[in-house]
Amino acid sequence: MKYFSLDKLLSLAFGLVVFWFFAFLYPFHLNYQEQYQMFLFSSDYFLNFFAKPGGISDYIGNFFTQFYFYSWVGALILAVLLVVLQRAVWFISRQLGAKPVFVPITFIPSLLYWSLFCDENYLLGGLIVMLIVSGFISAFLLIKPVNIRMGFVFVSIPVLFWMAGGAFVLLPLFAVVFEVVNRNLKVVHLSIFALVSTVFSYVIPTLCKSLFLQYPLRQVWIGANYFRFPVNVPVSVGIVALLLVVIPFALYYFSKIIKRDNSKILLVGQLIVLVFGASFLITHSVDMGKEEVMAYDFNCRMRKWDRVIAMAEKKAPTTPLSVTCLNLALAKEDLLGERMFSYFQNGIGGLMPDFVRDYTIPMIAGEVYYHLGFVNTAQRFAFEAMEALPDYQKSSRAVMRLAETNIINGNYEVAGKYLRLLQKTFYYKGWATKALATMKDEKLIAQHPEWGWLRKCRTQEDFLFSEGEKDMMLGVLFRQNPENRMAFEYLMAYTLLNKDLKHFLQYFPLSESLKYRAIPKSYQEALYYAWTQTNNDPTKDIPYPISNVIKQRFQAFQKMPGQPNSGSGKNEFSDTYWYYLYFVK
Amino acid sequence: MRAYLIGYLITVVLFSCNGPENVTVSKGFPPVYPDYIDVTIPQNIAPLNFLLRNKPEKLVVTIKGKSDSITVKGEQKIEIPIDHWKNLLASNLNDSLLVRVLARLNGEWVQYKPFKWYVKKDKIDSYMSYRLIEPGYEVWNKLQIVERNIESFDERVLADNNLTQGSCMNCHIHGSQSGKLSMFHLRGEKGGTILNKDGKLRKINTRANGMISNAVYGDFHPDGRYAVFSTNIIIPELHANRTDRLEVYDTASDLVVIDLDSDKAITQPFLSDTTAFETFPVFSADGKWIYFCSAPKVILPDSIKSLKYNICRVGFDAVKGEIGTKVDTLWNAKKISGSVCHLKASPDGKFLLYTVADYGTFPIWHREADLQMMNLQTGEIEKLEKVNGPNSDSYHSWSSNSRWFVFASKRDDGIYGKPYFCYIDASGKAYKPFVLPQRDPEIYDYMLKSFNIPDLSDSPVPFDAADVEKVYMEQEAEQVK
Repeated sequence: MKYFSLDKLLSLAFGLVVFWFFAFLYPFHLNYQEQYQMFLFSSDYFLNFFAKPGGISDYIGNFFTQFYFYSWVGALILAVLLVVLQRAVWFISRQLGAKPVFVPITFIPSLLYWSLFCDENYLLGGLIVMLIVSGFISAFLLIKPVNIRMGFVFVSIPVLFWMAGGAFVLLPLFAVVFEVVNRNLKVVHLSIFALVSTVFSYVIPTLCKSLFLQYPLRQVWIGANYFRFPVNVPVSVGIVALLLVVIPFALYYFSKIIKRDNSKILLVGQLIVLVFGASFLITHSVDMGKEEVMAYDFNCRMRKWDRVIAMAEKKAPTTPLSVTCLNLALAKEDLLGERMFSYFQNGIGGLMPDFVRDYTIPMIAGEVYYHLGFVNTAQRFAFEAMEALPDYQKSSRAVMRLAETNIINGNYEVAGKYLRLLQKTFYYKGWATKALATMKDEKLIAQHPEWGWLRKCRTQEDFLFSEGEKDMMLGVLFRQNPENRMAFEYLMAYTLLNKDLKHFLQYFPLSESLKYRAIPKSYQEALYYAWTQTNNDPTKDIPYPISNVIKQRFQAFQKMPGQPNSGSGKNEFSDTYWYYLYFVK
Repeated sequence: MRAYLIGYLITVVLFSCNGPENVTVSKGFPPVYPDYIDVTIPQNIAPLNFLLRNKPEKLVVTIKGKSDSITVKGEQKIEIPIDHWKNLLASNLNDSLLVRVLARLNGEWVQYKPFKWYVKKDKIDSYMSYRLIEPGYEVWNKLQIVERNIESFDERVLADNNLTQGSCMNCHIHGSQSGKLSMFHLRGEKGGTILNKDGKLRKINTRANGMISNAVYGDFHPDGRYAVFSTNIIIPELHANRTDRLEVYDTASDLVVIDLDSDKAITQPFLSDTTAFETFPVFSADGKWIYFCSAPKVILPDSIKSLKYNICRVGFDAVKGEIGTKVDTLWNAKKISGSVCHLKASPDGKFLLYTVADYGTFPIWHREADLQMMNLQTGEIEKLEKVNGPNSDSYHSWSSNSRWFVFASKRDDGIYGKPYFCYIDASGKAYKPFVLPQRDPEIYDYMLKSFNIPDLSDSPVPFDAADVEKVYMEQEAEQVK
């Protein structure tokens, strides 16, 4: 096998594995990323990024991130960019004289960045920084005359600073080390080059800050947004950046000392270490719990209710947010009353989460309020989630929701503002144009399957939203539109999850307007339980049509040894309300 | 009809060589945005660039004065050359400019009904500060206090929360409409009220012992030594109904005067009692009175719709540094039905400008909130019907000559506030207001920020965001006693 083809084959294999990973194992992390930015094809948007150091990297990063809307496209982009980074490191190493046997080591920066991308807070702009810096280092190496090469470094420092932020220092660092290693310059010239590069590198950001940049000095130095929280730049990013310089020189030295005879063993050894190292690294970097929540959320966002339920069938959700999504999907499919206790329930927090000053929870919780008909609350949650984004981005998903809620509320001017913005995006343009057209005709809005319905569900009665009185608010919502089955089922679920049978019994008769063919299972269980606890007359029969299966199961439940606190019978009855009532704290 | 004919003839002449043919004359005004149809403008305003909402392929705008004119071409929007504009305004003082709009739509030229810009010799103060903020609920993100030169499009950032650990900043106001005296509140761990006196910045912790909060709404005494503030415990709540958004109210609010020379708090027991809420205090133009809003305490939030603020005043002796003891009610909320906030006395002492909502103390989310003006000499109330829009109009500020005021209006979309300027003539008559001109008028379409608390000044403030960063990070706050 020729080494020449081996490095390309390895790059291809690496790219395929990365693609497979993000397309099939970790796709929802990409969807999650996409929703927290809104790339606009407008000069204003570009200029906003262009106006700060590192902004161009962020701009390019956001440009690519918009394609994460389809996770397989995102996976392809990530695979290509990570391969390009590896190829750049390999190119630089080869220019320094690295032997082909060391190609596996050039995968380390890409591998590390792959592991970083397993955390949803690492942004693509950071990888773009690495690529831009690698590109400048590569260009430096291609220039042969030493004077031009030095001139290139001086000219590149401000350009690279503006494009990639503080990571520009890698170029002068690399250049100085390169000239030291290659002894192309006299000591005096080399010292002057090193000194001027250092002074230049220090002066340019400091000068920019003092003259016109309104950012803290630390942020000026960092430049690009590697991480969603701009104030925290993890050390790991710095390590990857340094490796861009360290690896080529290390390989240069390794190549000098390696004997040709050992090369095959060395190659195989490196590949084994690389594969095992990569497996270890990625396995320890992934967070499948978050991936699960993101999957639930994405399917809710896309209104794929059946997929949400199918996910729960496959593996019961355990986190509060995934339970929130599942309950929403069950309600949308008219199954909440029937099947809610077939899955893990964590109380009212999993039904209608409280507002949190955060960008994730309100986005997910907002879906529940939106579909219930609490349009203003949904609007608030979307607005606040977007405001809470630490990197000051706008969220395409939040803006879309703001447009929807304003259309439903009849605030067409402000809805138009959001829609005109979305018209400047790639994926939402069509939707926005259609929505703008719909907005012009009240009849079309009334006929819209979602907006028309939610308009009927909105409360006409004004009250101040109260986190502690959600049952009251659900009651108002249902009373106003007795066809709003979801509001009723959430009201019932609220009382059941709150173990508040008194109010459950009080509200249950309201179900008359919904004309259930049969009382949903969990309501039957609650009704029968309440009856057995309050009825002292064995001759009297329960005034609700309770199925015999439920009656028999309850009798069996009661006969379980050590009831109610032993914990026995958990598996057999865990799909019942009684189990929730007794065992779930 | 005559105007149409003249317009048509001019169009024909204009385009007789290589201009458009078959021009259709429209009887309606062009769909210009911002709404600059027949507005009254000061002689020192920046060019009123605008766009056409019907997205023409080409646009030719002619602005004609007594003896000269400007013709500007564009696609959908125009940018008027600033030098020509200044000359045109200068040669048409207390006169009007005729604006003719010719647009090509779907290949056909349309000549719209011309409209006028009435140029007033009375200048407006050249600078205006405002806070740029997303009109959110409780969470804020990026905040900036910005100073805009109204005569051009130059903008300068005075404070940026990016430089102050993300802390909230609000209420930048000038003393006597001068850039030499101003203040704003910078919250957060190292925050305080930042006072600018001739460019020297001080950081003051305004919360003295016994005060319920730091200073909130405030105003400078004309001599600059004192400032009057409200202290408020502010609660935001969300409305469920579609027409309202957020209700912000105080569960407690008091008044205090601070002697800025000695950092001493001055108050009166009746201005900090628990049976009433007092807020939005301002000094009269001569400094002898403090106007403020006051409402009897009600149970909140249950009785929020009964929370109605009166306009009151109490004397102030600047020599002794004492607040008077007798409170007069100038505007009785019970009798008139409504609730007043944001009082601003005109520098000539003639008028008191304020906002009236149905209830409560936070009109920016009350669609019905409108400006009103009281003649302080006659007690007459002008409802400013020509000025008010369909949504909230509030947070106003006078120009130093009392002929202009700026206010934040949500008339465009109900959410995003923009600064509108309004002319008041010597008799107190108000004219149709116009929005702050922008180099690119389309910016209002894409901007997701509100212009919050616009405040006019005759000169720029002598500090910038870097100075504020330094004060925030390095300076110890002076403590009010």
